[in-house]
Amino acid sequence: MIIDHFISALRSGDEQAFKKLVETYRQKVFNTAISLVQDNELAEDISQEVFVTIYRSVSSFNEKSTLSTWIYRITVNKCLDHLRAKKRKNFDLFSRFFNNDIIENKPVFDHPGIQLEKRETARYLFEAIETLPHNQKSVFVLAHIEELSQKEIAEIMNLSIKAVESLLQRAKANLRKKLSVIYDRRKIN
Amino acid sequence: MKNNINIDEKEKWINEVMNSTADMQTALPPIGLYEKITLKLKEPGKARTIALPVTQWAAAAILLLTINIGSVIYSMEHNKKALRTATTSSPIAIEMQLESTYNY
Repeated sequence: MIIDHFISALRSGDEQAFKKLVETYRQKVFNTAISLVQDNELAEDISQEVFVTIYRSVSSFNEKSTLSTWIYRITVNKCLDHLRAKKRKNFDLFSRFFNNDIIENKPVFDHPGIQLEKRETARYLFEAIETLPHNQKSVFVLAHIEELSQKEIAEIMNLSIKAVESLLQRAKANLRKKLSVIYDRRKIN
Repeated sequence: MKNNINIDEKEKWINEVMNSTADMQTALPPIGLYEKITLKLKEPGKARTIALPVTQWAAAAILLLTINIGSVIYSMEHNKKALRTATTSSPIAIEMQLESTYNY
């Protein structure tokens, strides 16, 4: 009932309701974005885009899913759009020939939420996460960083629980493979 | 024996890395996010132009084609002009130009 009232306040353009929404969900949105795109500035831009989209399209929110699921879905989709655009840019032949500085080594990413003593090991995990296919990356981040249930992830990504389970298993297997390569690289260096 | 120790060490390290997100905190967005959002909401909608790779290739193909057509036209004009100059300067020029060089 309270939620219904809140959503109708949002639909009517109530600024206070929107401010409350931003306050409530800003951490979830930013944390998901920074974990997926691994870039502080880009994560901030995406967070702004997410809330602008929410404000402009709250009238189309059909309430089949929860508000939280809807917001997570918008966030994941925005992040994936940015990651796809980045990938296209890097593989674009024109960029390869004429703008070599686009294909540069990615700087080391430190997630701001990681404890100091775990920062170095987490760095390797994020390096491995970066190499995962987008759907596996999203599922892993939502499950292990946002700590959402498989049911919630399934609703966010419009997948079955079985599909989420399978993606999560594949993500973990791929991460272990990648970490094994990183371990050997560290030993050589 | 040494190999087994190495594998165990590696597995231990991988497990440690895989669990490094345990007890992590949520990353906080920079201060002033709400203000930035409201500013964006006040901005008039910008038309976005996205250059797709296909578009870029098409543009390159058209450019090459234009250059090619230009050079063909130029070469045809040049040949015509050369022929005109030759025919006007000497009446036997046409004959000379049409003369077969087959036996030379």
